Amino acid sequence: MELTVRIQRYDPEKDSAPHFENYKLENVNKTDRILDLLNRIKWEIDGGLTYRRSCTHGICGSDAVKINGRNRLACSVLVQDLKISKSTIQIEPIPALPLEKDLLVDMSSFFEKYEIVKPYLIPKDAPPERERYQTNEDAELLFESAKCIQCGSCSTSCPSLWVNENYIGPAAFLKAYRFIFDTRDDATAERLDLIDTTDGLWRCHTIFNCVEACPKEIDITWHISQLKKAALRREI
Amino acid sequence: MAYKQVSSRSGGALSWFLQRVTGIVLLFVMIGHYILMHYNIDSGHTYDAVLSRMQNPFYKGLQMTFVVLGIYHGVNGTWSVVRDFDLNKSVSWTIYALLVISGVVFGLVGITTLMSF
Amino acid sequence: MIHKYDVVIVGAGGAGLQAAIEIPTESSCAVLTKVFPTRSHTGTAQGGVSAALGNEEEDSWEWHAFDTVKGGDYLGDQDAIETMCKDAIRAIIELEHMGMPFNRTPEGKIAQRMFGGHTANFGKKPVRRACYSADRTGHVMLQTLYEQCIKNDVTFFSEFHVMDLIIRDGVCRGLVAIEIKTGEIHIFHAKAVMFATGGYGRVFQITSNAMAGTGDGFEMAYRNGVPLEDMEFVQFHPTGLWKLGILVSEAARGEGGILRNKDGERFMERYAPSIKDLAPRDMVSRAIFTEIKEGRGIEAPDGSFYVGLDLTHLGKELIEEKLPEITGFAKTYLGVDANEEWIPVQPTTHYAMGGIPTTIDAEVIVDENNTTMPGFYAAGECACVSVHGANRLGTNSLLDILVFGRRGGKKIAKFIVNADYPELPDDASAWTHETIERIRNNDNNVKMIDVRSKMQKTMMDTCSVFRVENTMKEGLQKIKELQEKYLLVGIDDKSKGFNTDLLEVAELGSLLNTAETIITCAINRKESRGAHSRDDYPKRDDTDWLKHSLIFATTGSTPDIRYKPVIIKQFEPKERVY
Repeated sequence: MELTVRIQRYDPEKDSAPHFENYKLENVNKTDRILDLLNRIKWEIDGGLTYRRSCTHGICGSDAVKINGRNRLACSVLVQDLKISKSTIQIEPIPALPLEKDLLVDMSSFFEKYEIVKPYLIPKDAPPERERYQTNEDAELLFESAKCIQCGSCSTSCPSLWVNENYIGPAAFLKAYRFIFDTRDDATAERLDLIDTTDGLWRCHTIFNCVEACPKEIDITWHISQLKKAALRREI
Repeated sequence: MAYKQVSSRSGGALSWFLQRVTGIVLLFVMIGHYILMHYNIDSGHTYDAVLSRMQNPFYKGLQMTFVVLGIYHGVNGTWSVVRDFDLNKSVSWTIYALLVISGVVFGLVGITTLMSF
Repeated sequence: MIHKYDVVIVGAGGAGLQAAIEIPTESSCAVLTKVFPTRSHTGTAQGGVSAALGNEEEDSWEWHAFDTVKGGDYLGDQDAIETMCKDAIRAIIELEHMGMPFNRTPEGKIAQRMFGGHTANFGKKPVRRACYSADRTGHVMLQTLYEQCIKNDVTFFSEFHVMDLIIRDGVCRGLVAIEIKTGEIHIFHAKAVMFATGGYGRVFQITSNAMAGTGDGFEMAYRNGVPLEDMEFVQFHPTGLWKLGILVSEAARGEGGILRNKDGERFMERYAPSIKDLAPRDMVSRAIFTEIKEGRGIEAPDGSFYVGLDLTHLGKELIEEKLPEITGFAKTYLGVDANEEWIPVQPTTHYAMGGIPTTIDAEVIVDENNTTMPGFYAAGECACVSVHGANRLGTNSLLDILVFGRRGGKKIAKFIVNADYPELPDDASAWTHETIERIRNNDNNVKMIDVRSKMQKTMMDTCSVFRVENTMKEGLQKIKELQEKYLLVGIDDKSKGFNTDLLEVAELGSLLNTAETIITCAINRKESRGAHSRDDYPKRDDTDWLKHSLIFATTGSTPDIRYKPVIIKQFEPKERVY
């Protein structure tokens, strides 16, 4: 089939502001990934089109973009998954982060927030000779949060981040959850101190945009609620 | 570094919790209020009927709670919305002060009105 | 801009991060990566990482070593294999201590499952040896290692594309990189450089590898006079998603999945009667191609063929708990519900057994006498220790990066204490500048995509699972023509910052030269061993070919191939049947 892909373009060395350009593609299969379309445009029409990509199957988290108004991974969405009006697909960069070029944004503040929650295991005692024991149920409590690929879809879809760039955001909370609820970790209070702040947990108003945006289908809001409960428990 | 970390604890947990508790209480009080005052003409809406109802200490207490919780919920909720925005300190302090003052003023007005019955 | 670091590590996958963790904080260490660290290809590993923990049933590191030797068709160096399999237990326990989330046994130990080629008691029966976290083992491992790097405050240069090594007079002095964001060229002056640059899967048309897997590390070393070892051995993973090549973990078969042909027959029973679907990957890939060749493949609407991976009998619960990711891929990309239907699969280019030759401490070897190059180290997929021999067993790659990444890191930590910074030559970045200028100034008549697609198709057609001299020679000829054409490739994007157009052309250069070494070595090795299967030489030949090949770049048109003996210890070569 024939499709028009409408892409937001911006080259800071040439353009004063972002603008849209349309690219007509023929012979599009309904099973093509959106990333395949971007690649075709880059390779066949305009080599200047700039975006991140690597694994092509939703694990590396490079290619989060806004497709028809929703944050999604270009490699995990097929043409047939979209409701396409007027045979046009619109692709923009994910919002709320500084735009660098075309579909590529500056992720550094996103990762800085990830780092402030102390994203590593902090056990109290020296490790035993063999593995620490953990029940399968306790381990499974972590699995969903550990699925996170740091693509940034969730945080940049959150209205709380749109109005306040200092908001820590769902992705970093998810990482905090992954350690706070790990039976092997002993730094719960330390970590809660870092997210129980003005720009922290309490800026989450359970809007659920993060859940809708997450390409790994993580129920992020549920995880944040667990953190809120943990923060409250120590107050009362 | 673009990100500035605010590391102090905000007391946000308690206000988050109270917002929910007051919300739930208000929901029930509101339902009662609506049934009594808006959908039940027989309950009596004349000055005398209201006056006599107000002599009941339980009823007066309920109205008192309604005023206090309602104002807390409103002020706290507004403050929470204000805090979503990355405002500079003087602006947010001004808003905070206005909210607290208006809360106290409205509270006092409400309580004195109730007490006058 | 010139930076000075005691250690520069290239690549932030498992091997690079594991090495960085070992560098003491008082020395300066920089990790360069062309993608953000957590985007590295280690994250796509699915099924597990092996260690003879014996948590589920009796196991020993000797059995693991035997399986690795046999799986590699006796080409692996047995001293290195022993080192790896012995150290595996510590490596996994250490990962657990770092906080990696594992599936657990009912007692709370690390759970283990079966995997291709891993057996108990020297080949008697499949054994549960692969430690796992659902089918996201690589992902959580990469996350865990990166977390440790944050804890240790490792310095990262993310989105730096390394272009060239600075090697003069047999000493490695640093490297040259492009900062992708600005397009600036940076020189990193270092006492020690470690390559942990991953694989070259993108040389082939169908691959499970990320788009970043363009063989840059192999090519940079080779271009700078370092030989490459055993490049003819390319692993084709038997179960890639049909047409896309996306990996469907062997864990699917470890948990009981069955490969079926169009008649519904469990065909692996004929090829490996004792361990059937859990035979090593090279054998399963050949079996699939044979089934298709003999008319028992399943025909797709577009006329291509595949076989079915049957998980329908495993039950929803097991699939959801242990194989959620791969069944999700089948659903997303092919619309197949693995609970109800077979997943269409075909072999996909997966792993480089060969690479930059190293000692067991990741020091790079530059000739057949095991001479090492001061200041240059390599670990992970880009390196060839050689533990995988002619065919790698599933789960051993994650183990390889842990063990040899760490050993390399430790060795470097010792080396830099007494080493001085070697002198930096004046022309350090000359090649990089020339290359960039050439690409920028070429008029854009020859398109990158044309050259790259032709190369990928040529390699797929002439040098994949089954190989024959004549077609390979034609393939090599084509690759050489494409190398000529490559010099004329130009770009649309003339800007400086984030010029991915330019970098893709640079990567094409790496791919082509890597392809040349693969196909040249494949033509040269006149036997069938492990993943290298020749129709014209169908038998393994231990008399003439039980040796590693080393390919050297020359100034002429043909590279030089020399040989290095295989280190045999307790396991004498035997016929490889399962």
